[in-house]
Parts: sequence; structure tokens; C-alpha cells
Amino acid sequence: MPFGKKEDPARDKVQGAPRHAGIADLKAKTPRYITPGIGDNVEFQRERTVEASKKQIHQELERMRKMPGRPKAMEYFEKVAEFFTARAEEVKLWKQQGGKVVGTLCVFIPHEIIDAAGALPLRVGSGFHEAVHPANELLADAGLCPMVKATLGCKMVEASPYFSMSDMIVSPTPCDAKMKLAEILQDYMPVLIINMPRVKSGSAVRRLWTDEIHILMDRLEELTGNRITAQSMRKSIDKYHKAHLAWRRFMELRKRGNIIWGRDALLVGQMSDIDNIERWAQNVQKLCDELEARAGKPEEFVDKDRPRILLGGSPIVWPNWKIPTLIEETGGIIAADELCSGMRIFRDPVISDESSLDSLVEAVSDKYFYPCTCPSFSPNLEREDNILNMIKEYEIEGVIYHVLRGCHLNALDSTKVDVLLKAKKMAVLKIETEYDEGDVEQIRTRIEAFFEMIFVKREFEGKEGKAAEATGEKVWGTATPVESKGSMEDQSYKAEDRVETGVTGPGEVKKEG
Amino acid sequence: MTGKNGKTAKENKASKGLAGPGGPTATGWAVLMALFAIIAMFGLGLLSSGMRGVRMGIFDTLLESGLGAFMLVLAIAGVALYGRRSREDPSRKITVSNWRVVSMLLWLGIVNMMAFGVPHFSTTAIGRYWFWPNLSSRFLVYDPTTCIQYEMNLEILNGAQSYYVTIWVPLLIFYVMIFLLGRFWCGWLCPIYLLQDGLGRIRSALKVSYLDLPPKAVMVLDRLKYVLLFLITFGGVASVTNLLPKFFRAQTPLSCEICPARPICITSQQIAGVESWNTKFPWWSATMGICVILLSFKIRNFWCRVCPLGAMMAIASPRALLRLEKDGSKCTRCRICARVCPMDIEDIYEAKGSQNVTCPTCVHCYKCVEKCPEAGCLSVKFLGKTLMTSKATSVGPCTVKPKGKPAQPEACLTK
Repeated sequence: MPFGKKEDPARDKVQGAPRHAGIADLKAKTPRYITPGIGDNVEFQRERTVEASKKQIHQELERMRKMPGRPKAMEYFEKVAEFFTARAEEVKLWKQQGGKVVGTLCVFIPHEIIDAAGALPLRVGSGFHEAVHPANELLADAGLCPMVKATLGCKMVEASPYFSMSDMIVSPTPCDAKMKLAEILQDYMPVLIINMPRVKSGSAVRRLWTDEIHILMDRLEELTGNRITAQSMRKSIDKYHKAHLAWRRFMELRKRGNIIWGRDALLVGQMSDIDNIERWAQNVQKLCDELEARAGKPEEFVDKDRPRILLGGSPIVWPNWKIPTLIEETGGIIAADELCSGMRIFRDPVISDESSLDSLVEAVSDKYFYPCTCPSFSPNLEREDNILNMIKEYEIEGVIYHVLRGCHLNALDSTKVDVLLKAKKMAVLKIETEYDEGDVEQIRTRIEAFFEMIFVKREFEGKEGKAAEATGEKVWGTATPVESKGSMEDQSYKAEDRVETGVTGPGEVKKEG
Repeated sequence: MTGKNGKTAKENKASKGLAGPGGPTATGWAVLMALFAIIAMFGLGLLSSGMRGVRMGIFDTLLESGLGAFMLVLAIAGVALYGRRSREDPSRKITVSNWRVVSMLLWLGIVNMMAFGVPHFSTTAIGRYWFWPNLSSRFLVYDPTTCIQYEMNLEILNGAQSYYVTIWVPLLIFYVMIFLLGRFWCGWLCPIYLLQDGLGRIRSALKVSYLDLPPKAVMVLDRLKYVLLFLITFGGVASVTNLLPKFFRAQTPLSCEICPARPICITSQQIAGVESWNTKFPWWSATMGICVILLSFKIRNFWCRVCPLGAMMAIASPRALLRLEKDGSKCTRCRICARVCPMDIEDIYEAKGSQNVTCPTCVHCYKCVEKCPEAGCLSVKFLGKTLMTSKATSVGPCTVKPKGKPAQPEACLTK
């Protein structure tokens, strides 16, 4: 606000009705979306969804365990990733002791503020394949993003323990699907909708976003009965900062080469959303220690010569490990990701040189808004820069752009990314998919062809690179030619008989990507 | 990937070591800069005092220019040392902000002690013609350096006799300095900045937030300083001539009448017993001084926003040899630089490519470089050589340690 005092619409009772009167008003008085008959066989559906989800989690964990050279420290993250067991028990205990749980959607909600209010922040976006089906019953839009469907489905049949235990959901409005999801969820539970500006320029935008965060603070104070003070804020910022530093260390290590499977790294990142953040940070440090201790030994790299892939696009939420599993079982490795469920969680730290509450809140809300590379922003230069930087820093050889069917923003951005990267002679593959596993074999074939192309590119550019080295030029994205040797025996998706494809000419293959 | 060939491994190492484009030569360049400064100080001091017919022994000249250069070396070595230290020690206890305070205190202690009644350390006057903006005043018995603003007024008034020669020399010296180091002076040596900085630290410790000026107010204050410069330069001359009606006429130029440093000088000298207690207390400048103190408490760097001397420097500082540069490709556009900037500069955040981002308003406090979380994104460069660069490890946690009980009870989190 100009000249000092922050104007708070929620507190401004004199000038008319407040925007959000309280927690009670965040839930719909009468259902607007739930028509009679929808909740008829919830019990049956819950059983089915939970069973299928447990199976899905178990299956993905088994697949990950089969990969060679996994660090021992991953056991901890696997335990958290079991979802229905240890961590769910903890949260249950927390609830029994009178603690409050606040569920968040998307990467925009400051967990620091929820933590400072004394509540437990959990990100509740869902990756359960089975949970899509109950939501289909309710939604009039069959083409909606499956992640949103699954999230709604989880609430409809109470399949996710964290969702069910949440006292309140905080949902920003980055895309149409999330906006309406928040509104529909209001039929079930209190949902605070945060108005999120989608163009980042101007001081009014900054004020709007900070005001929204202040409203969130008011609701949290009302929910928990604790007051958010500068001290509690500072303490939780420090807590998350430690997690950030641990994550940065992990990422620095990943720049060395293929030291860890991409799925493992993805899992580690995502568990920060539902785990106790301090304990999570300690375990990431342990993982880093272990990886660092391997340096120079033969087991340093899990598989040195696999093509390093940047996975970008729509969120990939645990346990929807379809694409990552396919990439790593087809002979590639995810070296970095550009997902809001991955490296974007810890994209930038919260930094403030002031210690008043307002300044701290501003620092926190800035962190969650300005550096974010969500495709909902326009113009999104940050994202382009970020992808180019990652390609350089992580020595990426190919970009796989994953689009969930119905995620329009990512689908539209894929063109931009494609044009941007093709100009830099980077191999790009766009995969459009859903939550079900019907298209697995088709995608596998495409990814295989993509890797073949990268191998040809290696051979092709390896020569060129040497020539350029001699003349002193630097060729960007140079890679030495290596024989393709993915661990094909470990394939756990039902493998068809692979036919050894002969090396085709570079021009011919490039058309395919 | 490491292991593929030696070249990439080396690159990896370089990116891990977080060395800037200037590499490890920062200290070497600091030494070179110091030598450069000594020569500049010596030569310019000699030139300027020679123009004025001041005679001095070679020993005194060396002493005084050496002292000035020593101060500069301390300040610059601070920057270089800071860069080195933080590379070795990621926890980084010494921040660049603290180095600045040390530098300002040293400058205040050694050069500006005369303002507090401490006698001049040498008999010659060469130091008086450095024309570094300073806590100097006509009203000081032992004035350390000459106030350039007063000098300008005086020269415009009486310069016709000497064909204005003596105004060009101070201006030349002033602008040579600005050409070398830009507004480095502001953030590292200025005594009024020290006052502001201290007030800001007190405010922050009291957990009071600063007044977030809207962009328009920032712009207005920015323009205001040029108006002030014009007024006190030409209006200052008018105020002591017969051009104005009697009511507006003053004994001293306008710049002295409203100078916020003047009451400090006079009162401290009176306390020290150098100045007589019968000297008239400068009410106008005292009011101004109090206003500055009050406003600086709530508004970050209030005085710097309206400083007329700053306006003189701002004209040349973006093209100075000492500059702040940004590597646009490394920027994540997190807006931290814009938020921590005490001058509310948005240009660094908004700059897209790689370029010189030294703004006319930049006071070289390097808070943005200190707080930038991206390695090598922002860097301080002198003649293209990196003196200091932002570090990924610069995400040093918070400046204040949390106290009291934790907000979240240590509850249920079993093993």
C-alpha cells in the first residue's frame, strides 16, 4: 500500500461486506454441484479407489527398487511415499492432538505462512489413476485435466488420507480447471480461493498478491487461534530455508552426471510437500552425503551413458509415474525437470533483510509468485530462460515435454518451447497423455525412437564437436557417441519384443522428433 | 556429464567453484585499483593545490594522499575480501553490508574527526582539495576537506576575478573521481549514509517495517534532487547578492542554510570547545537535519533520494568504470534485488539481457549482489574485471535469529 498501512479488505468491516467473512463461509451452505445420487455408492468406490491406489504406489515403488545403484537413503523417502501408512499415521496423531491441517493446491501457496500459524501444510494434488473415475461422474466436462479430476475424485470418495484430514484447502487460481475445482470443492469443505494475477508486471499486481496472502493469514489465524508473529514467521522461514539449501546441494550434485535416477529425485522433491520439512531436509542432506561419498568410485554413476533428459510440462504427481518410468525403462534418465511438482517447488529462496512481519510476509509472497515459471503466466520469459539454463547446466541432450490432456496452458506453451529449442538444435518430444495406462506401449515406441535420434545426434555431433574443438569453437549440447545400452531386462511395463533398429540417417530421424 | 571428457569436467568444476568471469584475480585487481587511487589522489591533490598556490612539503603531500588512498584501499579491499571469504566459507558471517559500515566508520573516524573538534593532523591543506563529498563545512575550524557545494557557490559569486578557473578544477577532480568509482562514495564513505544505515538497522531491530514508497513517489523524489541542486547552486548565489529583496537575503549561501550536516558540525565543535557557544544556532539546517533523521527512520535512504550532491554524481555515475552488471541468462526474476534495494531501483530486476545495470540512483551498497541467490547473476566490475559476484551460497539465512517458543508444537512426528 502506498504510505504504510496495509489495507485489508477482510478486516474492513465498515465499508461493506467483507470478502471472506470467516472459515464457515468458505464452505457452501447448500451443495451447488453435488446432485442427488452422486454420493450413492461412495463406500464401494472408496474401497476400489484406495485398493487401486495402494497397488499403484506399491507397483511404482517396486519398479524403482529394481533400478541399479540406488542410494540407501532413499528408503526414508519410500517410507513417506507409501502415503497410506507411516506418514498418514503421523498426521492422524497430529490431528488427535488438536493440530490443524491445511491442504494446498498448486505450488503458489506459501507453506511458511501456514507453518507460522501453527498448522500443518500438506499439498493434496493427486496422482491416483483410479480417482479420475468418480470425478467423471460429477463433472460436466470430460476433457478436464486428469490431475484436477483425480484431486476432486479423491475428495469425493475420501481416498486420500491427507485430503480427508485437511481442515481447510487453500487453492490459487492459475488455470480454469483449478478455479472451478476450488469452487466445486467448496461443496465438501472450506476452500479459500486465492486470486492469482497472471501477468507479473506493475505494482498493483504485487499489492493484490500480497493482500491475498494477508487474507490467507487472517483465515489461518482464525483456524488455529494462533497469531502469526514476526518471530514465528522468521522461524518457519528458517526451517524452509534449510530445506531449500539441502535441495540446492542435491541439485548441485546432480549436475555431476547420472548419479541418481530421475524418478528418485522427483520423489524426493515431492515428499517435501507432505513430509515434516525439517526431517525431510535432514534426510536430503543424508542422501547428499551418501552420493558425495560415492564420488570417484565405480558406483558413482547409476548409468553413465544414458541420454540426459529434461522433463517439462504438466505436473507429474506421485504416484502417477507413468512417463518417468517409461523414460527410464526405455534407456534414458531424467537429469532435471521443469515441473511444478519437481524442481519448481524450491526454485528460489525466501530472502529478506528486514525483520518486521509485513516485510517477511512480502518476502515470502514474492518468492511464491515472481520466480514461478508456471505456464499460466504471460509473457513467461522466466520459463524460457529457465529451460535454456537447465539445458546448459545439467547438460541435457533431449527435452521431453509432457502434456496432460486438458492442460491447455501447457499444451499451448509446448509450441513456444518447441520453437525455442529447435532453434538451439535441441531434440524435443511432446507427449500428450492421460492418467490411464492405455497408451503406454505407443508412448514407449515414441520415446525409443527419440532416444535413437539422440544417439544418432551424438554420433553426428561428436564428429562435429571434435572439429569445432580443434578450431576453438564451442558446440552447444555436444555429446560423445555412445552405444545404446539401456537396461532392457528390467522393464516392468509389459515389454513387447524389441526389434533392433538399424541406425538411420540423421535427417530421416529428425523428422520424427 | 563428468567422465565423458576432461573438458566438461573442468567446466563443471568451474561452475561449482562459482568463480565469476574475472576469476580469482579479484584481489589483484583491488591492489591495482588502490595504486591507481594513490596516483589519482596524489596527482589531483597536487594539481588542485598548485592551482591555488598552496605550498607544501613532499612529505605532507605523500602523507595526505597516502591517507586518502589508504581509506580507498580499505573500502575496496573490503569488497574483494568479502568476495573471497564468502567463496571459502559458505556460512558467510561477514556480509557486504557490514563491511560498508566498517568502511564508513573508519572514514568518519579518521577523516571526519575534525568535524568533532579534533585538530587537523597536518599543516598543509592538500587534503582540503580532494573534493570528495564529505562531512565538511565552511563552519569547521579544522575542516577536513572542502565542501564542493560551497565552493561552487563561492566561485560563481567571486570567480569573475579568476576567470572561473578555480571552479573548473574542483569540478574536474570531482568528475574524475565519479568517472573512476561512480557513486561508490555514497554507500561506502558518506557520513549521512552511515546515519541512515544506523537508523534503518534500529528500525529493523524494532520490527517496524519501512514505508514502501509507491513508484510515483520514488520518481518525484528522484526529480526533486535535481531541482534542489539547481536551487542551491543558483538560488544560493542569489541569496547572498543584492538580486533578491532584503527579506530573502542571507549571510551564507542557501546550500549552507539548509545543509543538514551543519548543526552537527557546529554543536560538536561547541562541545569540543573549539567553537564559541555564542555562535548562532542554524535553525533552518537543524530543522532540515531533524526532518532527515525522522524520514530516514521510516523511509529507506531518504537523504540519498534528495541529496543534491547525489544529483551531481548521478549524471555521470552510470558510465563509471566501477559498475554493476547483470547476466540476464542467470536471472530467475525472483525480484529479491528490487525488494532489498534501499533506493527502490526496479531496473535491475527488469533488465532482460546482460548489461550494465548501474542506475543513476544506485548508491553502490551492493545489497542486491549480497542477496541475489543465483551464482554469477549480479556482479561488481571495475574495468570489466569482477570484484564481487553473487553467490548461490549467498542464501545465508536470516539476519535475525528467531527467539521464543516455536509456533508449531513438537508433536506427533514419530520416527
